[in-house]
Amino acid sequence: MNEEVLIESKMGKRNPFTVPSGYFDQLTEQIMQNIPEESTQTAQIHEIKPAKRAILRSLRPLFYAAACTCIAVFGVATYQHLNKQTTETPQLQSNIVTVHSYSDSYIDEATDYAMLDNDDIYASLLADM
Amino acid sequence: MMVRQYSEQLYWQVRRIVLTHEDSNDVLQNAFMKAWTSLDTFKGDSKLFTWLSRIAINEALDFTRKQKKHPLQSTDDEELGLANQLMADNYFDGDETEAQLQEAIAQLPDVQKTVFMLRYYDEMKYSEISKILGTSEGGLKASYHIAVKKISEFFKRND
Repeated sequence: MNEEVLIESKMGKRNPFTVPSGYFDQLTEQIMQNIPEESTQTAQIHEIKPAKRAILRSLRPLFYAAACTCIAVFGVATYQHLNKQTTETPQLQSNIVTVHSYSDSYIDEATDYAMLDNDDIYASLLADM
Repeated sequence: MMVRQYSEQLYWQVRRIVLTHEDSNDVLQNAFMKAWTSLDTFKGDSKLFTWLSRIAINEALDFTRKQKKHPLQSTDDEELGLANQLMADNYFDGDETEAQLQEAIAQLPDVQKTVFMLRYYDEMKYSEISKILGTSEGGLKASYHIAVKKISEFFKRND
């Protein structure tokens, strides 16, 4: 901005205002003298609060990381639990198959004992019909 | 600690608006009193200095508005004009041009005057000024541009 350059060339940033000698050295004391004592204690508490908020803000990434880790651990545990259930079910099925096999072999033994051949078995089945 | 850390910066913000040392000292004292008593309202959503600046600048602008409505100076002083009053002030170290410039700045509307002071002298960011004055950054940029234009016209007239 040319106008801003013009202003800076004409007046610069010099401060034409002055203060009495030692003014700022005693300013703090002067202000504190005017403030009631109760207010200074309240102010100390309030100065801590923004600092506490700043600390919490800086810890926020850690909280997010901890939450993600918990979700991941829970997810893996759930997956493993479900996986365990599905590996157990084929065992049951094989047991069922085993039972069927057992009953078939039992029948074979029984028919051998009864000295029946297949033609006799078919004939008895047709007779019942 | 808050007073020690920020009092000098706040003083200069007030002084550039109020112009005289005695009045600036009074305004600053009032500003800190107000800050202490309303510390409960500070929610930490801005920097502490920003919050204190808002209080100090509002106190300074209120003071100048009251002064315009009920001037305490004698009729002689009024006729002198602000530039001449500054030249007569023991705590003003500038020449006549600088005194006239301060008069030109003092005549700007409040927002233009304040944004010019904070931007030009304190080199404050618009985002920071926006939090102090409660005005949008776009509005502040426009106000600053107008203030700069008026002040540069002052220099062109006095050349």
